[in-house]
Amino acid sequence: MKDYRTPISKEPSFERDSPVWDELYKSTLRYYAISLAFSALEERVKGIEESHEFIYRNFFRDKKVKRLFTDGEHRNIPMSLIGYGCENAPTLHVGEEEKGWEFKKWKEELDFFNSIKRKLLEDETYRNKFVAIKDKRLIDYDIDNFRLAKRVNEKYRNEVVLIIKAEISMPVAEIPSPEISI
Amino acid sequence: MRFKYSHDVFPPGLILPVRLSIIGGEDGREAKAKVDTGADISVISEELRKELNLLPRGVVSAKGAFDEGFTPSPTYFVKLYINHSFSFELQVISLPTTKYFLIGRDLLNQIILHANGPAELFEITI
Repeated sequence: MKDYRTPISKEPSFERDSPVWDELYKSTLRYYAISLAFSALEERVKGIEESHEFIYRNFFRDKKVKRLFTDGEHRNIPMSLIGYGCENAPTLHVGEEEKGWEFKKWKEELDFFNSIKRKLLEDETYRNKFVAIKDKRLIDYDIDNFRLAKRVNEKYRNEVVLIIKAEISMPVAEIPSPEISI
Repeated sequence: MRFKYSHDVFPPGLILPVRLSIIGGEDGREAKAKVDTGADISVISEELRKELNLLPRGVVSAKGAFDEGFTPSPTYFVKLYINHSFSFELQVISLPTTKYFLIGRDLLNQIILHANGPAELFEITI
């Protein structure tokens, strides 16, 4: 297999959390994603697995990347990189944790909701209604999520408040629309 | 309201000007919105989300086009204005990979949309 990649032999010397590192990380991952696609096109399975392992070894351990390719993505990598545009490919693999404090807080509130979900479902006051959770406390509820959101925004504009329906399953959404770069 | 197809995307697409703001807030931003009948839920670009200072409010299990599996994703409550006349309250998700606001079927199912591809014209009736 012709290998289009050039492995990084040295660790970078600057701070991992610096903007320089972020830029290097992004551009390197983008570069590897592109070369991975070229390699994989020539020898599909081996190229994917080998490249995946390399990226995993070099990035995943730093917890810069929370997850890389799932089995499904593995199979579709060449297609998705080419179809999706190589520039966009790395963003698929950066975890929510990278985004900021608000997402950590949001996750905490979601975990709390899951821990009390059974109690909420057993209570007629809350069952099938939207509840608002802030700082691991239930602060409001309503049958209309937009009305509840308006109240929450008025009181807690700059704070993370989870608004979620007390029901068994989580709502599901697909956004299956690839864009072509021109 | 009639609009021309936009050539900012290829193939030409249904893109219209909208205004977005937080629900219960007055401050807003102009944006370009692309009609996306394949999207179950509307999508705000990460850039615009930050500009509007929208914080995570809800949750939806979301999945993209490339078999990456369903992942719990934060949602945001926004008010969308078309033509400064009509408004819709929406619960949307944010994606860093789009520069447009994607109008999904959560909004599309509330309006009448006629698209004339050969003439590159589309019309929205509320």
